[in-house]
Parts: sequence; structure tokens; C-alpha cells
Amino acid sequence: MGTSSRSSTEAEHLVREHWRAVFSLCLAHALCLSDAEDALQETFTRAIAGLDSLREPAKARAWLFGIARRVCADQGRKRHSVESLPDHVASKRQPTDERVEELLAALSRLPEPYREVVSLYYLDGQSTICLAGNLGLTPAAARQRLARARVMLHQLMTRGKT
Amino acid sequence: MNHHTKCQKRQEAIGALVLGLLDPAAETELRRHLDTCDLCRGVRDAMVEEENAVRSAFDVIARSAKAASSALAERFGKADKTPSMATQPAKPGRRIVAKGWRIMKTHYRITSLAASLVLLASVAGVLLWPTYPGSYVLGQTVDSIKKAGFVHTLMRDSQGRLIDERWIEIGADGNQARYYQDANAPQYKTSLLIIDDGKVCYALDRVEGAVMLKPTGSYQWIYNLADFFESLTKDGTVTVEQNARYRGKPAHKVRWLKGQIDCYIDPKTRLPLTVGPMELEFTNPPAGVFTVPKPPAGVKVVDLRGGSEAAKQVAEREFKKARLFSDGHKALAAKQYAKAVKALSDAIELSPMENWIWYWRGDAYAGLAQWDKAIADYTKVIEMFKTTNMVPYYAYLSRGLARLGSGDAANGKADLAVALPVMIKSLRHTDGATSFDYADNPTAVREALAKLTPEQRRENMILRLRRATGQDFGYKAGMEPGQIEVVIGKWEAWWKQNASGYKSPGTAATSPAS
Repeated sequence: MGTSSRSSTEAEHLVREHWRAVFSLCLAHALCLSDAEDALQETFTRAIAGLDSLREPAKARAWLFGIARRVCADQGRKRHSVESLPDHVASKRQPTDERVEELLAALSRLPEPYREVVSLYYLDGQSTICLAGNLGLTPAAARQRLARARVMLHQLMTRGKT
Repeated sequence: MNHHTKCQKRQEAIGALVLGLLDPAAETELRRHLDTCDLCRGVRDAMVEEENAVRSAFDVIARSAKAASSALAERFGKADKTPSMATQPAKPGRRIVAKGWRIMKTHYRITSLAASLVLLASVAGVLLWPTYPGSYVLGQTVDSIKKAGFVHTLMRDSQGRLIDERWIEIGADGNQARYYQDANAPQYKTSLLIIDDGKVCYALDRVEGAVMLKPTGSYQWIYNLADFFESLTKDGTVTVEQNARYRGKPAHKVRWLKGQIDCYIDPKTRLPLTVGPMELEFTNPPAGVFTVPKPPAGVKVVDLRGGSEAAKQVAEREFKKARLFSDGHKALAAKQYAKAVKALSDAIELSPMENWIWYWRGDAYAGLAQWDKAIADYTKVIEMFKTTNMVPYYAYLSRGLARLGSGDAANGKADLAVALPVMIKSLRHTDGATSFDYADNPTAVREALAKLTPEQRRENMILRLRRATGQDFGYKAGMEPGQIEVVIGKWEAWWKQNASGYKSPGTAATSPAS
């Protein structure tokens, strides 16, 4: 598969360093655990096959995020062609936990940029400085986006309960 | 109306407050408002409460992500060594394991290396990750051990030389019935041959040139191995990695987080292949291995059974050591550092392998601002753990502070770089603070320390962090969970931003094995 000329240790390093962040991003787009896991696999499969195109290792995270967003978009299109995407994405698939179901339902109603910060913040444990670096924002903008996303999430979760 | 609109705008600030993102000025301003506005306070309270639910939902997702990472690992190499990023607290069960562990202690002045390693393990700085149910593998392991009959254990030093070999007969009750040990560890000045035939325990100390006859059961490894694994199933701090490998073969890896011990289990027989540093085999021993020999000619024989004179002397020596130890503790707690140094130095003479005596003498030297001596003692503690897979984080913290005290900022910071991440993590997983609490409270009874609440542990750790870093993110006793979350978040963010400043290259502090 991966015909990359680079060493397998480099691939291993890439996986080890970035898988959590990539998974967090995939979840923000897929809004379903199994789809996020599939997207994670696919992202690294594509990434490692095309490792030669990564010219600046320092930008690996951004490069992987680019791939992950494309993978998730493809996934979304495929889903659309089979069935129309349900409004309540989380409720359709086998949610493992009530809390997760509730969270994913609220998350699915957030605009995409807000979903990304929430997922990266909580799931990958990124600081706002790190978020800023990963999403190409200033730290102040990352802070603002996160705070705003948190309030929106609160409103959605409260609404979901009433 | 106007007031209401203003409050709407404040919601974003409340979100930032809950996440610990507000700068101090804005925080003060917002808090002032919250004191007077029921509406905003209601939003804040609801969000604080909800924050736990959000985090625990993400924790569930994180555990699922862990499974995804294993699949990745299979395809592209190891994805992640940590069991999970979730933050589920450890389940109760500590006492059962503590009991199982206690029975490993050997009687009298035991120089058994494995026992000392095991005892060191129980007090080493340990970071806890959340629990994975291990009963699947471990329950079958318990059954298999009960049927095994004999255990053969081997331990090697870092150069691969065999330094300890034992044969243990497992009785019908699962307890050790007969015991053989040949320990040769020159680096620990240990050379012992021990044979316990179930009636008498014969111990030839080749270094001292003496044979001791002791009551049966005086030397043990794990007195009941099945019980030990049974207790692990209930401990709540055990993780199981089913697709691990040991020496190239498939194995289950059981990690006991609290004891910082790894065990590999043979998936076919379900018997343990290793327990901590010990390699295990379950085969029959050579004939005559448990036969007590005649003492070699010219070697003095000391009978320590019953109320013999020699037994009394040993008991007195133990008593004296315990007194010195206790005197040292008390002096240290009373800040009588010179007195503490004296008592603890005498205790070291009698018992040079006890890490805590060295550690507290280091504290006493630090109290006297004798930095070089303090650093030497802390280094000794760190060295004692070198051959194990445990890290005495508390010693790194103290050595770091001593080095800073002596003006050696680069090495001091490098030591702190080892301790600080663990300390900050223990704000969430407060069991990880246990060894720090013990290190700071020499006079406290270990059982009393075990009863500290997570809040007390967290508070102690915050005080240590403030002392070590000079940072203060406003933790106060009795804070509500949301506010605590905010403070922890600030510490975590601070470390993320400042970690690189603590790891100056080329420093003397070597990073411990992960």
C-alpha cells in the first residue's frame, strides 16, 4: 500500500504524534464514533501513502488536518448518496452512552468551526495556544471561538433537555 | 430590557470563565457582576454543572478512540502507549491489594532483592490512568496458578546476569509451602542461599559467612500468587492490553498502575510470564531442591528460632533501627535538622537499602541548606530505582529544588521537568500524589495518608506546585468543582506553554524510562 520511500519509523512517529488530534477533528466532522474511527484510518492511510508530499515536517499537523477534512467530506458525500443525512445524526447510529448521544446531538448543531475547537479542546486536551496554531487563528481568536462554542453548546444542551 | 441584553453579551465571558480562559481583570469584573445578577449566576452554575457531563461524555469517546488507535497501531506501528486519555477515577479496592502486597514482605532483616524492589514499588511515584477491567485475563490466571504446583522465578540485572533464582512450591491452599532462593547481587552486597522445607528455614549468608536457622515462612516472594492476581482484579487501577507481545510472542500485558508493575500473561496457559522484574516458569523443580543441607564446615550457625539469644539480638537490632528511623522523622517534622541528620545517618548504617531514609536525610540536609549533601542523598534514591521501571518523582522534585537552592538552575529545572508533569496530572488523578504526600509527612502513618481525600491531596499538590514554580492560579480550599476545573486547566496550560523552558539540553538529569 504505502509506497512511501520514507522509513516506517517516520510513519509510526506521525501516527503517535497526531492520531488524537486527527481523531478529534474527524469526530467534529463525522459526529459519529464509528465514522470518526473510519475517517481516522483513512486519513492515515492516505497520509502515509503520500508521505513524500509532506515537505515540511513541522507542518505535519496542518497537512494531516487537510487530509482529514477531505476524507470526512468524502464520507459525508457518500452518506448523502445513499440516504439523506438525518438531522439528528447521533440518534441514528449506535450510540454507546446517553451522555455521548446528548453531546453529539448538540455538537451536530454547532457550526463547523465551533465543532472543531470544542472537539480539539476536550478530546485532545489542546490549550488555546495550541488550538490557535492548529487552526491558523490568533490565540485571542481561538479563546473567543472556544468560549463562544461553549456557550452555544450549553444553549443546545439545555434546549435538548426541555 | 437593556440589562437583559447586556447579560446576553456576558454569556461568552461566562463560557470563558468556566473554561478558565478569562484574564484576571475580566474575571474580577465578571465575578463582581455574578454576585449581583441572578440570571448570569444561574447560567454560570448550570454551565459549571454541565461541564462535568461534557467532560465525562468526551471521556467515553476518548476510550473509544483508544480502540481506534490500536487498529492504527497494528497497521502503522505503535500509536500510543498510554492506556487512555479518559479521566475516570480509580475504583475502590486499594485495601485488598495493599493486603496482598503486604504479605510479600519478608520477615526479619531480609535482603531479598525482589522484595525490596516490590516494596520500593509500593511507594514509588505512580501516576494513575483510568481503569480497564482486567478480570477477563486475571480471573483465568488465578485459576491456572492454583493448579500449577511450582513456580520458578528468575531475575536479571541490567546486564542480563542472573541475580536471583527461586523455586516455590504452591500448597493446596495456594500459599507458599516450600521455598528455595539463590540470590547473588554483588551490587547490593547480597549473596544468599535460602531453603525452607516447610519445617525450618535455612539461610546461608555468603557475605557474612553465617547460617541462620529461622522459622519456616521467614523468606517469601509473593506468599500466595493466586491471591495476588485475585486482588488485582479488584484493585481498579489495572489496565490490560490483550494484543501485546513478550519476547516476540503474543501475550496479555497487565499493568498494575498503582504499584507501577507490569505482568505479561501467556494467552494459552493464562499463567504469568513475568511479574515486575521477575520472569516466571511453572515447571517442576530438580529433585532435592527443597532439602535443607548441612551448614558448610567452619561457618557459624545462628539459631533464630523461638526465644534464642540470637533471635533476641536480631529483634533488638530491628527495634534500634525503628527507633532511629522514628527519631529522625520526629526531628525532621520539628525542623531540628541537625538532629534528624544524625539519627537518619545511624539508621542508614543499619539499613542502607531503604530509600525513604536516604530521602528524608536529604530533606534534613536541605533544611540545613547543605545543598550538595541533600542532592547526593536524593540522587541515591533516584539511583536505587534505576534498575526498576519505577520513577521516584518526589525525589526529582526535591533534588530539583535543592539544585535551584544551590544556584544550579539548569539542572534544577531539568529535574523539575521530570516531576512537574506528573504533579500537574495528579491534580486530576489524585492517587498519583500518594508518594508525594508520604514524602512530605514522615511522621504520618501510611494508613492515615491513604485516607486523605482527593481534595486534600489536590490541595497539598497545589502547594508543592506553587513552591516549585512560583506560579499561583488562585486555588482555594472549598472551591466548587467548576472552579477547581478552571485552576487545573490553568496549570495544564501553563505547563504546555512553559515545559520547553524546563528542558534545557545537555543537563545532567537523565530522563527516567517511561
